[in-house]
Amino acid sequence: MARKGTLLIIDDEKSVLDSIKSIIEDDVAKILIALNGREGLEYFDNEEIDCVVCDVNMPELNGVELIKKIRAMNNEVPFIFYTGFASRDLMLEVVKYGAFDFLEKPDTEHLKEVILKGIKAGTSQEDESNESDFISEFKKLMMDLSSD
Amino acid sequence: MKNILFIGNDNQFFKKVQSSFLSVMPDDNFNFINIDLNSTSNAAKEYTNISLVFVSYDEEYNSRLSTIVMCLKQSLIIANDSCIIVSVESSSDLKKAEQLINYGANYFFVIDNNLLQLVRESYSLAFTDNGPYPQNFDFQSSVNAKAMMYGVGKVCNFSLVDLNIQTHFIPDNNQLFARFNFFNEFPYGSFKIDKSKVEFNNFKTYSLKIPYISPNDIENNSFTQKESVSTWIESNKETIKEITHPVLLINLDCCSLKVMSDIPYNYGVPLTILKSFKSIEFNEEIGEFQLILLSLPKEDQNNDEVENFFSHLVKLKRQPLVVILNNNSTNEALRKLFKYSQIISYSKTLDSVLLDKFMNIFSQKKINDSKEKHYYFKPGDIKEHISIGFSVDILAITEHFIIFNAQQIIPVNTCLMIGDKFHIYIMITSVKVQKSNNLLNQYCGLFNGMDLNKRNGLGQFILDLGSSKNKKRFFMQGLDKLLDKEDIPEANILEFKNKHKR
Repeated sequence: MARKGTLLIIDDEKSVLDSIKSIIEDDVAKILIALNGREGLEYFDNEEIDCVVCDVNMPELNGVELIKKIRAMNNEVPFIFYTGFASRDLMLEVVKYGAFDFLEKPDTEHLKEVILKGIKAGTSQEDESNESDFISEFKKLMMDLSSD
Repeated sequence: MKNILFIGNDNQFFKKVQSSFLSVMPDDNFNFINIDLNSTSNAAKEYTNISLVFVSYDEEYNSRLSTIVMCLKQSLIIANDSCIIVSVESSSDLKKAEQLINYGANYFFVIDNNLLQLVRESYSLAFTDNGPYPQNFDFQSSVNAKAMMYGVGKVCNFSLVDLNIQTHFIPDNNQLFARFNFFNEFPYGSFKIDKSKVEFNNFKTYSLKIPYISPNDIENNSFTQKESVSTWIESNKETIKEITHPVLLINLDCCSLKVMSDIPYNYGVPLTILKSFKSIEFNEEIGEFQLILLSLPKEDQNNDEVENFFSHLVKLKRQPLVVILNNNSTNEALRKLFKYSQIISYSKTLDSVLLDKFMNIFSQKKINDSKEKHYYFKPGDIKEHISIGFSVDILAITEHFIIFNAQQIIPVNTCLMIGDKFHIYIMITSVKVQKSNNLLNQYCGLFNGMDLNKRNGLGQFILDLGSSKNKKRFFMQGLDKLLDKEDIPEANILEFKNKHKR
């Protein structure tokens, strides 16, 4: 399968960056890494980023501040928050700005699958299918309720 | 800036009101806003800081007006203590318009009446701290007469067994003295409250048992039997619908009033709107909502409240479906974060097209978890309207005000009636709540909803009362005459109460 998309990984622990990189490097065309939100933000000046894997709790610019700035640039790039569930307050904040998924450290089992979904969403035109996806999911959940 | 909102189609009346405001208060800065009942272009939140609303009643648009006023009031887009004034062409329209009290109306105006007085009173009610009422109304009684007053309530739904009603009255001793608009033989009297249910937006919902008589009780066969209600439902199939689960909107003032009000108006699904998660009472009742639509505002949203909300939903036996609008998070992210599987997100706001698509799916779902079928009326249908009677001691009366004592706790701005068949309305403008249980609360009410004849009649009555020797007797006789009192079957009510003591 052809490698596709640009992934930005942001975490203040180098070991986490290395571990994510090793899991996904064979499947993604380009990987960018940053040790904090501010470094990560700078990539958006020059790069077309298709998906971000990001910690929530970081020095300088945390995950909430970063996603706020990116959304203010009208950029709806998928954000996967790979974090400890101790950062719950911040997670409740980022969800208002559009989170693609949450994964709890040190879960690496699902990481690759979620990142590939994120890249796919980031490189496709999601908006067009949003309404029909919503309606079919709504119908499905209503059916589930009916069969309770 | 003083924002005044107009809802309805009587543009001529609205223009007169506007020019009266400008001529009476030339130094004030008014902003007059017209709401087109069919417009979907403006989000409800655009109508902020509204303290005064004029609604022109039109029987043809009764149901739409009711739902629009409800959406304005429930979403608290307008201030909670704002004043909603309903204008009617003639006093004969009052009885039909009266059900708007259930949707938030506070004051009625018959348009042949003194417009300048309306402007002055409404200005005082909406824009001044003291209001147009006496501040020190600690009255010694000069009338000292007992009378019945009536508040209102709304039948949310009913079955052959029970009636679920909504009112802001707090009943005495678990009893409500109520008159329903179902059919003539339907019981009129004291109903025992079976249970109090969830409270939203200062309205309490109560479940009442229908007091059927035993078929063997030949003497009392004028009172309702179960078959009568059953037949009545059958013969009113066009206006009485079998209930579906209600919908709850939270934080959704990003939608237009038209779209919100379409839920009850077009799709016949009962709707409750909450401005924020703060207003939710967490109990099993919230599971009665099958669908909850909400948004998570980026600013001014307490995350603990959102988290509490979902942690409560998780524990419910029947878990509602939650649609989070205006949010770009995926379903998976939201489900994981809130540990609640029945969430769907949608990136845009609720518009007519989307609403139509999913309400058609939603309203097809039939509920089958209740032993008894429950029914409801179209919003604004006179049959959903009930009068709730209570006894008061009238202390004093002027051309504009009435001062009385009552055991009831009645919120300020509540619109009441003297006599349940006549149309003199009173808007409660101030309250002195007594701390001791033995003392009655003292209220001041502002008269409204009188046509010119009735207003003049009241003026003459007050003059004559002042010069009468026995004020109590004069008051009782005079008030009956003034109100053109119909024959209320007081004796029958007492008989009903005595025979059906539970």
